[in-house]
Amino acid sequence: MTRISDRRLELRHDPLLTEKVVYSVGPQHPSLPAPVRLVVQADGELIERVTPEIGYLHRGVEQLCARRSYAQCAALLSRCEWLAGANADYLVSAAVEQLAGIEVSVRAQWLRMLVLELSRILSHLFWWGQLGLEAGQITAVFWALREREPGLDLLELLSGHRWHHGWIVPGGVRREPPAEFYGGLARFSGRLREALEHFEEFFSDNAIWVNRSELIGTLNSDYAQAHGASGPVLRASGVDHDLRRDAPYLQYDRVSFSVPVGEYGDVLDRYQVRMEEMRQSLSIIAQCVEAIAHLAPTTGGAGGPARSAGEDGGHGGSPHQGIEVPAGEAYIAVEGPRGELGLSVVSEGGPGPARLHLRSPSLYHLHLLDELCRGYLLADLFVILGSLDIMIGEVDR
Amino acid sequence: MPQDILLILVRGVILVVVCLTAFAYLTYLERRVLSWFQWRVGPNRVGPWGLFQPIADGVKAILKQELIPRRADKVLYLIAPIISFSAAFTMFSLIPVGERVFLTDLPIAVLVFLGLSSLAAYGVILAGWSSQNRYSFMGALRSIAQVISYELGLGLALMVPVMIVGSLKITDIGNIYRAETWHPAYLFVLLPAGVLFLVSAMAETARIPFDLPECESELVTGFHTEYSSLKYAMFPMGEYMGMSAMCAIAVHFFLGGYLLPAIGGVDLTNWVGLIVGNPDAVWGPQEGYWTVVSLSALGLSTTLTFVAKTLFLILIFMWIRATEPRFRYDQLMQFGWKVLLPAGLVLVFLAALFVVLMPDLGGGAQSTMEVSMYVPR
Repeated sequence: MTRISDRRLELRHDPLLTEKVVYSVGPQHPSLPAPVRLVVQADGELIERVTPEIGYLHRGVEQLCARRSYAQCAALLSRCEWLAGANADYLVSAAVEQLAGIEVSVRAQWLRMLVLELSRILSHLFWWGQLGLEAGQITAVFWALREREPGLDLLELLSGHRWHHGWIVPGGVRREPPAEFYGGLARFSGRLREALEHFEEFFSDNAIWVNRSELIGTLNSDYAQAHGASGPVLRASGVDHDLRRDAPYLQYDRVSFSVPVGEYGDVLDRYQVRMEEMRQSLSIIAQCVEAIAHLAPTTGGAGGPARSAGEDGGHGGSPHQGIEVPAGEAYIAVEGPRGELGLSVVSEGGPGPARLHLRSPSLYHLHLLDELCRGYLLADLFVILGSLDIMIGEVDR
Repeated sequence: MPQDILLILVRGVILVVVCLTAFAYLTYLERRVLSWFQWRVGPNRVGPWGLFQPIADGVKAILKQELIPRRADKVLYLIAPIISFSAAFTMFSLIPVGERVFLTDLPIAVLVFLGLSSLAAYGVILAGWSSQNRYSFMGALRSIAQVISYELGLGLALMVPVMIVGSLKITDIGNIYRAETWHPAYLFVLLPAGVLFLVSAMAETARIPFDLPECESELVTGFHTEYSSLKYAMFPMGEYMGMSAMCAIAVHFFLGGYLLPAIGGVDLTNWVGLIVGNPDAVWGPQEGYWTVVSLSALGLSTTLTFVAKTLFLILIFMWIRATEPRFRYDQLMQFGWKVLLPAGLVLVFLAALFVVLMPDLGGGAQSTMEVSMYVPR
């Protein structure tokens, strides 16, 4: 807070009496996916400082989870990371399995991987369309949603839900994919492969876009690492780090895929890393399908929900409501679409966690904005924001 | 004299009615065209093929609550949309749409047109300034800079055909390909000038990729963020009319106006006459009653030709809107000053060279620039 006398002194040295302008971007703004407020201090259009103000979407999810069963936790957490809800399901299931010492069949692990990669693609597609809107390219979002739709239909076929699936459960997955799932998946992959080529025409081959993204919002690798960046944002800055390869979970050590790494950490690099990730995910999905085809679905091969003794084993009701998890602590992390999504669970025994904390990549990325935007123009702020792919539901929980 | 005034009034009313309808259906067309690009259906619910959608939109705009920000400069705030809107309409009154179908055909129409296209920007600037909103203000600032920069390219591009024809009258320029002074070598400067004009016109009317004054993803909706109801609707109206006027001018200056080429001795210009058997087209010039018939057939065919050409250009504008991302503000300025302005200067220089050298090249007669004062009869 500057004192008025200081302010006057400042003005006296400035014969034109120019003032810095403060834009309050949000909490409601056409480019913001969900409520968050960015206080942008600028000299005309030149940004000097960006202060994110969060909390508009706070729902107290972590506190709620401390009083709910694990199944309910998964449902709540998937509403934090709504574009790839399967990640939350997996995190909770893996935490329960680790604490309770439940073995998951190999086949179920492949199935989980398949769905996680599918969610990554769907999330990235949404990001791609959003980025188009931020850059003033109004057609991209519709093309992205058009390709995304069959993917959502696949998840609906699998679990009955399009966004919040609850299909990955402690012990395995809720049920075998129906026979038509694999055919649909093959069609979806084929179409998307072609579509991605067209998508490049919108941005990578467009001079206006390249001018707007090249060397804009550069993030150097030291700053990125020091401030907890992860996922595509970190990799675009030249840090070759991917949890799927460096700390493999599920069956990721048995598939081959490359990890795209950027050079300058600018908007264009982040864009290209994500585009390449979609192609890599498609290849992982193909490998998953092949592996699953070779593993016969034995009884309970898909895992099936873990149940405590005495439960009726019927199909109604919450599948693992009655599960007793021994006391302990667990931290599970996955390479989510936006970066390292981690879940820390403290159990004191009983059907639900005593304390639960979500490590969300978006929270870290949102606070990179100040560093990324300083010295760039107001117009760049939105493209940079788009390139970070921030999920507000994850920032405010 | 009173008959003259009455005639002008009637024509004016016709112009306003036609323009308003055209505006309404241009919004419909744009929504439909954009939705084809975007794998959507577009408005198809109100009436057959959604054709009543513009009417529903208009009624909705009128019935919305009027809000005036408390801190706004009320007079300027209310005047701004009127300036934007009326400048665009006046622009249209300058443009002949067919043989003998026009409201005015001023000998200095080009100058008036350029003046009006700058005046339209005042609406934007005042709207942004008076709203007392930072987004609006920023939109207004961008608009000032943009209009000043791109007006240069626009004016220079228009100078090329003006120099070739040697007149500032739009019908003369529309006749450019049939003028005495015409020579095919002029195409080397005329075509680049046409491209330059279209790009500048896109920036002047602030359409994607030059829509920085509005810029939805950055400035909410830019200069008209604080406007509501009919006042809000007047800005898009002005914008669409401005865009159509720019396309219409481009048709006159670069695409041969409302005329069509003559192929194999048959002048396609009077194609309605050819189809329905206009005596003029079939038996040569007529007298008496038949003159009226042939003239109206000529008026109809030229008007339809003109509308078709203009629509073609408008569709190009829509196509570009659907496919291009937006420029950044400083890149826009650089593009205007470092690319378009030099290109325009070079074109004007070349055109001047051509005009001076053309008699030696065996081309048309040397044209002389005559700007006479408009004296109403």
